[in-house]
Amino acid sequence: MIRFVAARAGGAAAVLAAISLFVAFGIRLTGDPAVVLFQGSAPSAEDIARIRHALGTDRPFLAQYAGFVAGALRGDLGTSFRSGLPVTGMILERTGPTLALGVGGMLVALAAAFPLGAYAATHRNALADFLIRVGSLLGLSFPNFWLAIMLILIVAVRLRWLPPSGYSGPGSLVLPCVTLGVILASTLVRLVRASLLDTLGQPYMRTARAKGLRESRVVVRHGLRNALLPVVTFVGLQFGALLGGVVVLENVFAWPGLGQLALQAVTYRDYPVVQGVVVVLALGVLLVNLLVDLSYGLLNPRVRVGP
Amino acid sequence: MTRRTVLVFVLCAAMAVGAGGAVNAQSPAGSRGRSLVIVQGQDPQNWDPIATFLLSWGMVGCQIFDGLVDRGTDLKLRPGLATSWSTSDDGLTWVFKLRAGVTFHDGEPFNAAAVKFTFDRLLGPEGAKGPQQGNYKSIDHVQVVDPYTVRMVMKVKDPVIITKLAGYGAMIVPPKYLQDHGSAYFGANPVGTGPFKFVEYRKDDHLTLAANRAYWGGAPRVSAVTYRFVPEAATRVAELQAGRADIAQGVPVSQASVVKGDANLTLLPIGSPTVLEIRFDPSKPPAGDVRFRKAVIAAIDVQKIIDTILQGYGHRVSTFQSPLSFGNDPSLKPYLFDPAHAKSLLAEAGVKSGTDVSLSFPSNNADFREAAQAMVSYLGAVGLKLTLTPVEQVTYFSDVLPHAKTGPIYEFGWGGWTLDFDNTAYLLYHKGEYWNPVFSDADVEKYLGAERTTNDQRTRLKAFQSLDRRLYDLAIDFPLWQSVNLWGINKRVEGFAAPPDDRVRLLQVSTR
Amino acid sequence: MTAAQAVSAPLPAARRTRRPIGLRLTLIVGLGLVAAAGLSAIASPLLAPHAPDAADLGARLLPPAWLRPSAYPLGTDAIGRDLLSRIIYGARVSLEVGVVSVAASGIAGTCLGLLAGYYGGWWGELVMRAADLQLSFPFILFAIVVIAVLGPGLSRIVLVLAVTQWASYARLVRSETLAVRETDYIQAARAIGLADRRIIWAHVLPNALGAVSVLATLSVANNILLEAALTFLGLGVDPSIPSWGGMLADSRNYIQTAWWDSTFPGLAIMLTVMGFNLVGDWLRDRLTPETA
Repeated sequence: MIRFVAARAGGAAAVLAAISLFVAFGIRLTGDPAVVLFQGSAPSAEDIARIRHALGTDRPFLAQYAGFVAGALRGDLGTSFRSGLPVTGMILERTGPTLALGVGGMLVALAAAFPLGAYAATHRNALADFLIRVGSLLGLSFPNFWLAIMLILIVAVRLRWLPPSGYSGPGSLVLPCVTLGVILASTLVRLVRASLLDTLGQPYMRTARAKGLRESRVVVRHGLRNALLPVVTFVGLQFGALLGGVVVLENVFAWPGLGQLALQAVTYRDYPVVQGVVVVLALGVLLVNLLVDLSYGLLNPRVRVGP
Repeated sequence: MTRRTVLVFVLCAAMAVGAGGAVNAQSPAGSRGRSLVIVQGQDPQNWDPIATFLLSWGMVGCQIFDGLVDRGTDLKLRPGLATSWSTSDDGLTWVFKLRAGVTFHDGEPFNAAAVKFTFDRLLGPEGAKGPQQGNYKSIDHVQVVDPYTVRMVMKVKDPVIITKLAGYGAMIVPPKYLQDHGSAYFGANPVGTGPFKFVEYRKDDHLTLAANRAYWGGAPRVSAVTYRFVPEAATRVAELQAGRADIAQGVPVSQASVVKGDANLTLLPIGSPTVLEIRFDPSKPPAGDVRFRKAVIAAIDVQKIIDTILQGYGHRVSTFQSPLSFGNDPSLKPYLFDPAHAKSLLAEAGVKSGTDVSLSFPSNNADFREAAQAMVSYLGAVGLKLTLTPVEQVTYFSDVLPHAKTGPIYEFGWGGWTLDFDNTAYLLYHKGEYWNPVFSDADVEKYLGAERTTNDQRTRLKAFQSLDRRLYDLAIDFPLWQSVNLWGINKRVEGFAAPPDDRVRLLQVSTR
Repeated sequence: MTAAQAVSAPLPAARRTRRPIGLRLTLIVGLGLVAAAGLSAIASPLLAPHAPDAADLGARLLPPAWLRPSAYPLGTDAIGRDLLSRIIYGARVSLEVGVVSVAASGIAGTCLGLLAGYYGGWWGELVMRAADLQLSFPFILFAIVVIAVLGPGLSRIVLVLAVTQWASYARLVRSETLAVRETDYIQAARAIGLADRRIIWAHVLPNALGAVSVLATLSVANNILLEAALTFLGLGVDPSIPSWGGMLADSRNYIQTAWWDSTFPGLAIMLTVMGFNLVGDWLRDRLTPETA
């Protein structure tokens, strides 16, 4: 086990190195931040050279990359080209809103998915099951921005129950989290249903029933608990994707999170911020992946972990 | 079993509903009293005047900072922190008399030393890190004459220097505050002499300012202003409709009727200095052929596009400048819409029916995006197959345009805010300029040269009008319209004048 | 991106139980919807009443014909084009984006996952680390970088989707393969000296196909929506060529004034997504072996 974790940590370090190299190189192919600063005006060659020098982008690529790595190892991700502030602080500032959105959305999804999935599984192939399955597809059928705008128009503009956008107090969390939750729930409902169906057929369930337990007790006590494991795995895996995937929602809801930070940074070719966000997100995802891989081994002893 | 499952379900549903009902976030406009909420699309991320060229900075920056000179919503120059100014005969020295008794928001006095500090910083190594320095290269240095008089020594004569002193980079900054805290801190916690002072800033979320009761121009009539940064236009309009914002910048034409249809809101259109056109890249066939260019121009009914897609929010132009610009030739009329003529021109030029032509444009301009799709249909009617290439806007302006990576035709927008054709004409038609990597014409160079070598306005105007005529005949570009910016305002806001240059003035604004 | 990764967790196999009417209905409805989308894509010129890019600026944002009689059954969009014709033609781009990218990423990911799971060792390690790399790179940023470097275009979008999704399949198939590899019948097949290729092809692959088909059908839907998200962020393709996602993104400013402009492309996406998923449900039931 320790060897496995050590090997994986080594692998993760290699992946991180590759990602940082890829992002540092890739973002430099997309345009020159010195030119971007002069939007709408006509910079002279000296103007551009002056800014490049100030930003340090006139140095050779490897020197810039080495500087980034050296700093990152000490926890210093550099200084933003746009704001002039340390990237590490900027990322920390944005982590809260993004986590709030991610965790909130996941909670909404779980709250919806468990009852619906359980009901569908216990009424397999009945009309309710069909309706729940088809209904769950609705969440997969709308682009997130469209769902977000519809919710804003109905709940915030027509009913005036909640603020349309922004990050201010618990009320402002509801719409973004529900939007994200509905989208996640569509997949989750199907997963809970399938997982529960699988569990319900296991021998220990038959035993439980044979003991004369009430069916609802069987389902909730034994079925759901065991069906939980793959769902937890999914939730873990999904979180990595979530953090990088809320860009559009943060844009619609004017949410000051990592997604907006990343999008703005790419737009303005703020290399240090782009590099910082990508590396931090990747680190998070790798960590969760490692945990998920470890849990595979715990869940199914037949799976040999590691090489 | 079902009873229990149903119970769980109902509980969860109740929790969900309860979560919604428990939060009563209703905040109608009236409850904000004398404080104002403005939603704008972009957060410039750095409030240091030397660090930006963004209009979104200007919208906010002129509440916090003052320049020596001020430019109002009528675009006229008036005294700012300088009460008067004069220049030497050779135009190489300017003397400014400064306003006495002004203090920065942190209590530091405003005086000649602060002015000197501001320009030393702008022109020195600190300014070299930002884009604004290049704008002020004609200034050599600033000297303190007495505590309320400064002398500005020029390297070269600069006829528009006074206009530039109303610009972003020349905003006066507090010396002691900057020396104590440094530029990075200043960029996130700005201090100036303006009508509003900084309170709180959360990036990509909001900036709060409080009224500066001691403002030299009189106290503002509102108590506080909160700017919220909302990138999506549909959300900005929703904030306005929900009564949570008083002023929304950048309402898209497609949402104009929503704002107009709301009893609580007013739509304020204001002509901007930005002119939009389609340019041809003569190095890319078939755009090198003037008959092809004229055929494209004759095939598109611009007035109809303005009347329908833009709902009238655009003014037709015949050359690439606003009618107010010095150098405009009113005798030139917009090109005629004549599809039959377009067809015969294409036949003459030997352009086969069904020829593919690509039009590049920045993807963030929603109005042009729709206009371009109408052009597909217009050009299709004369036998050209127009394909549209939307390009992410920053890539478009920083890479695609200056390196001539467009298709044979492309969109180009230009804000000629000095209202003198010189700036535009030189940067766009003089060979080898940043915005003109390809086009060149001997006559055009001749007129440009003639315009620049004289100070006689009549000679200059003649040269410009010859230039206008030459460009019109060459049809190297297809001027479309002067843009109109739309602002959405809650009716409780009074005294708001939409600024043509996006520099909002809030001193006279009050709430009902 | 969310749904694609959504299913990369091990999906428990549904047991083969009774196969009542509900399941056949699932297949019939699902196939019907997919066939309808496929037909509009193939036969768009025959089905569409108007050319998809013919604009009539005098007839912008007309409501559906049953509300106000006109030559446009579902009304017109903001440029004055027939909405029905654009939806019919839109099936082409949307299915291309959805199906081609899923096919490419699915085949590549499945092969890599099978090999990584069956042989393991440094090769398996390499594949999985490459998958980690792909999965931990935020999709939208990857899309922006690729499109900024290669320029915009439909092929670029398909490429971005294919490249970013192979890893989900690889992870999924590898975990399925790992589970199957140690089962008695695979051990037995090895013991009797069956060739690896035959074992993988005949025994391992069918085991993984159930989960792969579910992921694939979900991804078709997801990719159609991702195209919409890219258009929303200004990274989309030629807006005069209709795609459902693009139509939905471009109509967002008209939701309050012309509901049909976003509703009908949305319905087209919804029905197609539903079709693919119902077929996927049915497939999973057919393909998943009883033991897993």
